[in-house]
Formats: sequence, structure tokens, C-alpha cells
Amino acid sequence: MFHILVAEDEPHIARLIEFKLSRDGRQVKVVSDGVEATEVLEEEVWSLIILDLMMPRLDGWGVLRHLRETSQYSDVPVLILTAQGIAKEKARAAEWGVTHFLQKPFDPDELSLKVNELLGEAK
Amino acid sequence: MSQQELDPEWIQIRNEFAESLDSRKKDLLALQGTLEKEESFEKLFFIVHRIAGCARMYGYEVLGRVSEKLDDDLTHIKFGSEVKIQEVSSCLESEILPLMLDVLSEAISNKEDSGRLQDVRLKSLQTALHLRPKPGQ
Repeated sequence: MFHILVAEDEPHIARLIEFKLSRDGRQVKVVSDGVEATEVLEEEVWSLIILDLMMPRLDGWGVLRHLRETSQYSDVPVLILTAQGIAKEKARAAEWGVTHFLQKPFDPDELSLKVNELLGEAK
Repeated sequence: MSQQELDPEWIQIRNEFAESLDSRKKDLLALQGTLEKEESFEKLFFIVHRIAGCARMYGYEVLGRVSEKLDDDLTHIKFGSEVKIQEVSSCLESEILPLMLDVLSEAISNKEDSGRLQDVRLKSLQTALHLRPKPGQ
């Protein structure tokens, strides 16, 4: 089973993601800020990390830097959730090897498709 | 009706979102008469931003459309250097806050039926806020 870590501080978005992906048969863990995200990394072998950019304590960029600078997580695929200014954020994320984005608000079915694609399970 | 709409967990999640709109409305009401202050603008920005981020995911089309547009405009005010909050505070007070309160009230009462009217109001706000076209528009 694929394990997915979701770092999102807006509870209504986080719950919807958790609901949708768990109904798709994924094992999902939700954290509400970047510090918590870095703390739970060792708990599991993550197949995918879904990362909000604007979060308290440590933002998505900080988490992404931590992932890419830590060899054991450097290859974990990342899906970035972003509110706006997507072009600017895409350019910055590309420097960290991230090319997958979802702009909020997104269609939950689109989320499923993206996740399938990133897990190599495109249907 | 889709399978998801009948799912008890989905119904619970959707109800929780609906209940949260009540507290968002109370937060907005508390800002009335204070929008010349930067801290009040910040609060307005984040309330609108949070609603805009997920309203349509929960099926609130009008609330989503209006809040997303206002989120764009408030972001432009917050991060753009051309518009000062004090210059638009009267418009925020007399137009934006009442508009958000109206669409929230409609969403809470489950009567999202005046979308066209709200779109007209949104269009008029473009002039009232003296917003310039954003890059790429």
C-alpha cells in the first residue's frame, strides 16, 4: 500500500484530501505545519508527499529544502499545493526538482489523477 | 446522486465545512468599522483567502467564485506596491465586506441563487478599488 504524507494547514482542505485519497485505497497521514512534516518523515517510507506552500512555523519551501538535502528523502515525489502566483512558484520549485502542482481550489478527482500519475499508477 | 454524496464520512466533512462558514461570518462581522487598520485588513485577507481555497471543493460555486476574485484583488493590494490600504479602506468597508457577508449568508442558508447579481457587484468593485490590470491579464 502506498503511504502519503499531506502537509496542509487549512483543516477543510486537509480533511477533503484525506477523505478522497483514503477512499482511493491510500494510507494517508495529515500534518498541519512544516515542522510537524519534518518530524514524521522517519515514521514511514513515504511514497508521496503533498505539500502546501503557505504554512505556519515552517513553510513548504523549508520542508522541500529539508527533503532534498536529506539523502534518504531526496527522491520522494512531491506534489505542491498552491494558491496563486503559480508561474513564479513553479520556477522556484523546479530548482528543487518538483514539477507537479495543483492550484487551489482543485477538483478532488484531479487530485486523484495526479496522485495516480505520481505513484506510477496512471489509469 | 453520486456515491460520494451518500458517504456518511463525506456528509460529516461537508457539514463541518458548512458550520465553519458561520464562524467565518462572525469573524467578518467583527471587522466592521475597523478596516482602515492594517491588522484588520490582514484578517480580512486571510478569511477571504481561506474561503477561496476550498469553497468550490465543497460545492459552493457562488461563494467560491466571489471569494476567489476578491482574494485576487486583496492579494494585489497586500503585495502590490501601487495600492495603499488606507486608499481603499472605505471601499473595503462599504463594498467588499458587505459583499462577502452577503454571499456567506446565502451559502449558510443554502440559497446560492443570486450569483449573477454578485458578479455584477464584483465587476463594479474593480473600478471602486482603482485596481490596475494584473500582469498577464
